[in-house]
Amino acid sequence: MSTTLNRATGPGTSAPSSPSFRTLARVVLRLHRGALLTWVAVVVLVGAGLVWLRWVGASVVLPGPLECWVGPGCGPQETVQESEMTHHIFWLDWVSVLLLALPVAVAAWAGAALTGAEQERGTAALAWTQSVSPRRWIAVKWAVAGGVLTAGASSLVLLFVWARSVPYMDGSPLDDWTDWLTFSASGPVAPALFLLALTLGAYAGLLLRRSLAALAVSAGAMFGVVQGLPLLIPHLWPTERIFGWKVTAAPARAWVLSESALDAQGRPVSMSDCQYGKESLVRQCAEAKGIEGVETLFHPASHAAPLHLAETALILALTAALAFAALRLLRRRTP
Amino acid sequence: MTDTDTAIEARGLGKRFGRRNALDACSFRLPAGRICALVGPNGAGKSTLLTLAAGLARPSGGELRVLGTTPAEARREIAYVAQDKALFPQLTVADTLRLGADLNPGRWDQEAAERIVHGDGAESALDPYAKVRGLSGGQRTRVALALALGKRPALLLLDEPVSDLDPLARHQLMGTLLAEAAEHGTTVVMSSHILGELAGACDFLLLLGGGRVRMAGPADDLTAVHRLVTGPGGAAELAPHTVIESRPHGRGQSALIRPEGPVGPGWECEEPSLEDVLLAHLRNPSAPALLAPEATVRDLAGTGVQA
Repeated sequence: MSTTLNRATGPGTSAPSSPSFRTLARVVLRLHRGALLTWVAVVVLVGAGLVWLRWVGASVVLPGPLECWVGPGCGPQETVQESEMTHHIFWLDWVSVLLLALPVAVAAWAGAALTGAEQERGTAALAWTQSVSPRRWIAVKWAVAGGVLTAGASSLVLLFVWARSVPYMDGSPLDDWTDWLTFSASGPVAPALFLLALTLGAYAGLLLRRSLAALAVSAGAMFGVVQGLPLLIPHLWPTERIFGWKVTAAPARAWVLSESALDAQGRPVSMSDCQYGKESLVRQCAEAKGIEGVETLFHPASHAAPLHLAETALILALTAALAFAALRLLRRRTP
Repeated sequence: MTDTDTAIEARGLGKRFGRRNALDACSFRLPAGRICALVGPNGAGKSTLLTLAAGLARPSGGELRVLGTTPAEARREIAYVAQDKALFPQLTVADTLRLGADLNPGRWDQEAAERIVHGDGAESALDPYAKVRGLSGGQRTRVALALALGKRPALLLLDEPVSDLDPLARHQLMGTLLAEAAEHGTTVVMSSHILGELAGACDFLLLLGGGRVRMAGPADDLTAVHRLVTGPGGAAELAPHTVIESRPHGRGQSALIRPEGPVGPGWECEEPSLEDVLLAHLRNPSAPALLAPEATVRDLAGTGVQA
């Protein structure tokens, strides 16, 4: 930095041109150095925590076969290393919560600092009257922040998956892929959420031109997205269906969405007054009400990948729509 | 660039904010190489015009050509200093100049920028490692102007550039600015409320009022078509001349007029200063508009100069 003032950069050293992407990226990183350092610190700390969790999880040894441990127990030999396992599960849960809370923070930052403050303070005009157009400036800011965020979020997701895939979890009912926190934190959904948060914040900042307003709106909207998306997840891919008299017919580890008794016309019928202990009595009661069987709708474990991809695609589509809206807004405002 | 001798040309330029017309059907031409004073009461449309020329906003109507092309195309050759002198508060002075160097490749003149930042002596020199957020208003103005001049623009747009400087610093900075502009043939458009400062520095004038062009042209031409007359008679005796402003003076009248021929006997006649002309027009918003031929949009010349 000490060379800056002494650098002899005369005019006409090269033809006037627009700055390259690399130069612009450097400028953007310099302007948002504080945010960059914060993000790096978060990724490093959480990443280190996940490495530690992997080590903790790997050292958990279940006493005896899995059935012994999860079922009613196999007698006095059951001495579980409670503390290690509890730590592992507890902190993994918290990391998944954090991975979904961070996009809300990112949306707030993007709205307030990335675009909102520039609009409010007039520094946007400063940037836009250098040799770079408004759309290019915003696009580079978005791309640089998006790259940094995606890289960090992706590494955290990989570490999260790695920290969960320890021997004792394998095949255990504790490994519940249908839990929405775990689901969102262990696939491309999380990085996509960061991109959506960034785009949402950037758009809000441009639209509202006030950093505090943009902060509130984008954080609120992102909170809604994070809360609302899980409701959509199971409907993003066709479910499988089993019809018959067997209750809990879905295979192990399936994500069961509904189990309902249907009559001959396929209408759901309440079974609430058929609560008997014996299955034959239940069946008798049900048949008396005209019930033909029980329909189970579920996602087998093999649907995890397509569900991930479908949700990611949905988030990225939303992101693209917001990015398009932001560029259109800029095009309408500035030449 | 096809039209190298025109810095700014507006044809029917309009800008609307909601229901308010900030600029309304403005037509004028600013020849290249001029130092133009942009004058007008508050809300006249000065800042709006500068924002449009800087490519920061789209006009609602009409056309604006800058350096022979659109403001967006001319972005690399325009520098703009906004009224609020916005700078990135988290950067140091040196980092701000580095930003200018990075964002204006092939144009940036570090020495010119540093001359403005350093001022003319050790006392006024800014610490290059001071954060912009800690600078005073006047110091920020210097950094903002340094960023603008370092770009080596063909057109320099300044919105109230030196209003927050003390008279001494103002005088010194204006001197540096104008010397730089003269050396490189830069066209400067400068809005200001300080008439005296403009009168000495500018050779072209653009007076806006209510979003319209009220007067435009070379300073000499504008003073030459006006006369400051003093005489015993009433203002009514000044027909057929256009009276811009008249007021009692001793037993008679003193008036600023646009003579339509020889002024009658009994009137003492002198050429007014630019400040006289400006003040008279500012005091009388209903004075008819006046565009000098040089300030008239070219192919509209002859069809009516009234904006």
